Amino acid sequence: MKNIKLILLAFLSFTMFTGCDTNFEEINTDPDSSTELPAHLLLGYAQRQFTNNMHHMQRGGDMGGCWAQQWSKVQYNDECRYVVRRGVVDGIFSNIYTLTVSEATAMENLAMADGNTNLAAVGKIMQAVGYQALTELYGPIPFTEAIDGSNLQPVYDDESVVFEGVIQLLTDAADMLASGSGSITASSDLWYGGDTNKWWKLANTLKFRALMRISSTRAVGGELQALVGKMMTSNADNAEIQYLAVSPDANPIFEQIIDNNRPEYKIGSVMVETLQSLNDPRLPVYAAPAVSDGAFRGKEAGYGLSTTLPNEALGLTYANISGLGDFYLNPTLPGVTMSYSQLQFLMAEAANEGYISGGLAAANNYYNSGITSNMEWNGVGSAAGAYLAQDGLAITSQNDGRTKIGTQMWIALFGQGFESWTEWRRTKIPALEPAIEADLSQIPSRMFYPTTEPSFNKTNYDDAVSRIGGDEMTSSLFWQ
Amino acid sequence: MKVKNYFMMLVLLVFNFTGALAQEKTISGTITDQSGLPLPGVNIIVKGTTNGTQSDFDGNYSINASAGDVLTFTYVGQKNVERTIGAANTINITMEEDATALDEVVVTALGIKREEKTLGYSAQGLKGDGMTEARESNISNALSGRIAGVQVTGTSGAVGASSRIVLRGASSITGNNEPLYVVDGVPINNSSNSFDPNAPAQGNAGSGGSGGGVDLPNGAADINPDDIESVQVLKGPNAAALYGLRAGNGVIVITTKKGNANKKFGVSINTNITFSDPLLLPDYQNSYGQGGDTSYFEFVDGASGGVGDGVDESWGPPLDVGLEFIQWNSQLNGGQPLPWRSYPDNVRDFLDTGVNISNNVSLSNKGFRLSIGNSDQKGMIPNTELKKITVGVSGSLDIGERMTASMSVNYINTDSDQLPVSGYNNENPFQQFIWSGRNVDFQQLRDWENLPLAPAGTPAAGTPLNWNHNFQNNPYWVLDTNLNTLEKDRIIGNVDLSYRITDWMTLSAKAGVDQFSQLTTNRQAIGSNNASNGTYNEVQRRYEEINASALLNIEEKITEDIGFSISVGGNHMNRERHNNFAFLPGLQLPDLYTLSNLQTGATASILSQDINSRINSLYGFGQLSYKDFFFIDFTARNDWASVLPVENNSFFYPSVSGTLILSDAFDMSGTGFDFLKLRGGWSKVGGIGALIPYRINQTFGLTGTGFGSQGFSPNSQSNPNLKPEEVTGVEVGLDAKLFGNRLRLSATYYKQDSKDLLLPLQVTQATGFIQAWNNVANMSNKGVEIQLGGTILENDDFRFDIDLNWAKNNNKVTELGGLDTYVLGTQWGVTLEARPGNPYGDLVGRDFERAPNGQVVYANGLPVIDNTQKILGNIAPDWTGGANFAIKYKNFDFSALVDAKWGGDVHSMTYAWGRQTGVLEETLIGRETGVVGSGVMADGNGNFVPNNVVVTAKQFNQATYSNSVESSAIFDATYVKLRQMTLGYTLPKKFLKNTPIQSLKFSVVGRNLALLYKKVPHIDPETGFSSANGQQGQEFGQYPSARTIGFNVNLKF
Repeated sequence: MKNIKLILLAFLSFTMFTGCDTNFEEINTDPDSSTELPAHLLLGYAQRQFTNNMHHMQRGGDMGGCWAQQWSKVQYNDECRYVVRRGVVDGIFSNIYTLTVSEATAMENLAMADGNTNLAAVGKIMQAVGYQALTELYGPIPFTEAIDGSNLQPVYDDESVVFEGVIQLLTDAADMLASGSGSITASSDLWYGGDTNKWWKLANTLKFRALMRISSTRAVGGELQALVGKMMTSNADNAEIQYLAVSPDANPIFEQIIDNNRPEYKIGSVMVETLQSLNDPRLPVYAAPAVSDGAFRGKEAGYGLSTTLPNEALGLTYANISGLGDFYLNPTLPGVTMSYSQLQFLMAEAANEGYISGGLAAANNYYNSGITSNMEWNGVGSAAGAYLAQDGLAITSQNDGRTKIGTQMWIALFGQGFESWTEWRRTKIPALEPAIEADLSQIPSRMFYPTTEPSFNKTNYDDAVSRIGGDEMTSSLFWQ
Repeated sequence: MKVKNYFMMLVLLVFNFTGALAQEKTISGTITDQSGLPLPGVNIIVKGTTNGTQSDFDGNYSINASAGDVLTFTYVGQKNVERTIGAANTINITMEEDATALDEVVVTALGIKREEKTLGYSAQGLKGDGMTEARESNISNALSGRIAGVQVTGTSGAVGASSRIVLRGASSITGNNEPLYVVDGVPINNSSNSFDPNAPAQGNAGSGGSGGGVDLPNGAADINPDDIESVQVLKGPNAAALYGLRAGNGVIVITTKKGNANKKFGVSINTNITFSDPLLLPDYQNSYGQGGDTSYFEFVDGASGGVGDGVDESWGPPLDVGLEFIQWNSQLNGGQPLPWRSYPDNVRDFLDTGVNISNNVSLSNKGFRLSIGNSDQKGMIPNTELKKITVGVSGSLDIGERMTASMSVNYINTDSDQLPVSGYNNENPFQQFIWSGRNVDFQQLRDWENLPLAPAGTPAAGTPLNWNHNFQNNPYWVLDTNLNTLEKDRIIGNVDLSYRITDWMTLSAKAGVDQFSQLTTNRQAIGSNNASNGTYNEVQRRYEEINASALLNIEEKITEDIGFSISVGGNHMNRERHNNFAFLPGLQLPDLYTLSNLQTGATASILSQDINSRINSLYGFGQLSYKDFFFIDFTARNDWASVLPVENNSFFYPSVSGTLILSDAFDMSGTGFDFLKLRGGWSKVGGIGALIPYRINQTFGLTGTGFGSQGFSPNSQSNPNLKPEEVTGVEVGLDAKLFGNRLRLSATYYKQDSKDLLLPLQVTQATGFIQAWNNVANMSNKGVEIQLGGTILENDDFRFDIDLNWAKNNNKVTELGGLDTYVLGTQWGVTLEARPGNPYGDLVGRDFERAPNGQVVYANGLPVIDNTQKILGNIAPDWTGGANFAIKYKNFDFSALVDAKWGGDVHSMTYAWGRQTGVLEETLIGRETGVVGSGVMADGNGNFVPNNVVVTAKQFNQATYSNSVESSAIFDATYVKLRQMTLGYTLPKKFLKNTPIQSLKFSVVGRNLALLYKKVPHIDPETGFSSANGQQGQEFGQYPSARTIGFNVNLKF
């Protein structure tokens, strides 16, 4: 019987042992990730993801670039006829929030806790970049209640609230950077290598762009004028990522067309004709000679419904339409978020409209500077002088200025699909016809909200949709 | 156990009284089984007395009895034999197996053997023999159609394809809905651990999906069918209450063969050779070739340099009408035009005959068994293969009078040099067949080493010639070069020590381990269409689960009529995984696949991952019995799970079930009932469902990029307030055997409610998260399972049995945390979703605009797409069933198995793209005349009139079938399959008399022989990209199911 007692005791202690394990907390701690992180490590991630997302060929290319009619496709043309892949549209919303804005918000919070106000300001700028892109693509979006894990169903704020919020973020950021403390780790900053002065200029530049975007809705002159002299001064101030030679950190245009073998991306006919009419040296940079006969030939937007693509009879073939130029197929082509050139065109417009001082003369100066800096960026800066000297290029009146500035900005935004579509939606310059055989009777004015929002955030989604008159790609946004 | 004890008592009694009897003689003899082996332990009783004995190890017995007495020979699983004692003093007996034995012993929770008749829940099983003859290299597939309510989905006919089993419907939204596999009492890992090319070097690398990936065998496929003694399926939570939280979806209990302690040295050899060809292929059109222009074609560079050569569609000139064009293979004859002709069998001819050779040798002696098996599979897809070597050792040892030690170890080595890529991916040759020219003779591409290279400047430059260089590579080159390899070593084993403390108390301890290490690599050569710089991926996984348990078992009779048993024990489970992922996004040197061959300037993704968890458990279970006809079982268990927050990590759950054997309780003679039993049970099982470790605290991630190390905030919100989920089940049933066991019926009704399901709730990304962990969903399942068996004819030479099974499950997602949907998976525009109020697995997508009468609205002759997302179907079947026919005639046996899945839908992108590209038969309609789509169009006055606008066939097909609309590619997935046929011949004993051979059986076997009925065109409706939840009900570029025919030889010494 002694044996039995011993065995039972051993058994009992085994069962007792299994009942109360004390190190479960340790077992359930991930050894491969950290609860703390140096804030600056989030910066490069937010920049890279945002740039990749906006330049992604199925996003900024198929939609932005095609809708602004800078690009066209000789096959698989649905998006260019405004038949979108909802999953792709969903992805843009998702990526900007979860891969850029949430990182930027976390970075601001972590940097503030460290007392690094410069880095915190950069976090605000990155948030502003993300939110502005979102509201321009979709309209009302969650802003005041967004990126808050305790509120899983944030309200959709009106576009004006988002824009004012973005402007406030940029104002605060510029103020913090003007008198900030702390450094931005150079290796983590893909735009400016940690140069706080350039970040300060960017905050002001982006604020200028945001104000211009809503300039038809409220007075912006005073705020714009206050920014003059505090903004980008050359292409060296561009907010752009210098992409690398190989995937997956190469330019998305290269990755899609060359690496992924999608040669159906071609140049649009409006772009080719516009450049030709201006004797523009950027034509051979933007486009490659057609394989069939060496000519520069673009394709009109559309086709692909009743006219199948590619189409020998209409000459809409891979060989007959110009592809993108080698410059744009270079893997290391920078991915631009904001350029000095675009700022110059916006300032030209502001001067032309009288928002900032200087009148027509200043408008012409900014306009010339925009063209020159863009040509420099495209590697044909030496041709700028002769180009500008051509008859009819200079702005002669306010009305003339509107068309010419808009057209030149549209040309200069080549390769920035969403940005060029967004500026076109605002200026409607140059005059563009909806795509042939399109699914809509107009060029889209916005994108569908994600298909998942009616499920995930129904009340707020429904409310937002009613405010813009329906979740349609033709619903008008307030700044348009 | 009870029965055995009863006999032991009898035997003791007998010995006590034998001395008192007189006028007897000693009868002796040898008892053998039907195969001539001595049968020890047979009970021999002089009928009407308590005088009895047992046969010894050599089958010999002797007993004292008088002439005229009747000797009764009884043995579990054998028919009773009675002999009247005459003059002879020697009576030799050959016993016969009793196929309809009532006291069938089943293995239930924790490896405990129970008589089936005492179980309060439904448990159905299969004998191992059925799995070795008509062999499935994946044992999960072998369960198809055999057991009511077991829904098996073999994903494809590719070697190494996984298989999914769902019992009684899905019970979890995102968790594993498959049952727990338990081998000899040790839970084993059944995951596929596959590679997902869309998430290279990602921690959550899943398995094959709609966009590619390699579907690896599920873990249970490692088990060697030759080592399986039996498979028992415990369907409900009742049956599973004792396996704890992992058993909410039921349990598949596999018992491996052991050496019989009483049998002498024996050898069994099994050889199986089968050949596979496609069960079906899409019906392609053979009248029009490559291109978009119906009058002219010219191949220049395969990348739009000519006319139609850059297009991978078949809207080109008519075939077989005497046209000649310069084609891709004109490059092989000096550029001369070649006849523009069809190759109707070009896809079939592309494929090889699959060959599977399996050999197994097992040796057994006393309590020891050694089994060595190998299987060598060559797939129908060229260059694909899978090899498996298994070694199984088991043995038991008596240590002294009271202690028994036993162990079993299985070692499995799985090795493949090439497994195919699934889904919409350039590496899948079936993608190329759908996006193709019907004028292409793919076979001519096979000799790629001697073909010229694709011209410079084309996307395929530098790789061997193909018929198109824009979108496709030479398919044979892809299969020979872009290899996906698998190497897995696995050990599953256990050691069991049992000590009989007293006659009524036993203590046992068991330790089991399941451990594997798996290396998968994936190569893409430079010049591959979707990786022009080449890629290389290497994933090393190490997995270890250890279970240590102890159990104290007490069994006693309180009175003559009332017995009880009670067991208490505990289990300690510890699981550790460590995975390393390394991915090179570009290669520096061609044809070199190693992690140091990184393209200059590129950044390798590397990631290590640990996933550790622990579950401790205490449990007790017992049974009360009354007169062997009424039984009450109860269980109680408490688990502590490390994945839950410490304050919520302990949870308790009980179950109770009852059994009443009416045929034993009452005299039912004359009613036709040989056996009638009612059973019922209630259970609650706690669980952690889909919850994975490390979801309590928020952490940041790090990733290496070409720009340096970057950090990111998580996309999944952790939650410190998680708690266990709960599955409550009720089941009632009856089992009956009638008319001398000629008719057998088993019926079960069950209802099961899953509550507080843990899931990563999908949330608006405006929160910064994609998902947030919470206990939010509820789901219910209820259903009926019926097994009906009949012996239609039976006499000395002939026996004909039919066994039918049928099951219907109604599943409903009842609550989803206030959300309308949870997206489980996507393919192009279709999503597979869980939606409250509906069964799990809605297919959601776009339909056409519809007129009030439901007809499709056309504009300009083309259908108008409605952009709203609608429910277009659901993957849940209405019912599943199977019918097995077995005929025995003398030494021949024949069986045929038909199984059916009725209802449920599938979305076929093979159909949508195949119509878009003009390769399918249906695209011939209106090629010359044009098409008027069936539907209506607006008449301009607000009314609809029938559509009368003629459009070209190409316009019609491309507008109706594409990635812009999903309803036109949704089909009813109903199927009826002739799943299996076997014809066997057992050599009569008399031919083997003077040989050492005990038995020899030869069988001709066939699997997946015919699709007897289906509604979806072109594809096998039994399909999935992998066994994962989100990969069901969607299809593209399906690898054809394998129709397998071969033979099996089984030899026993």
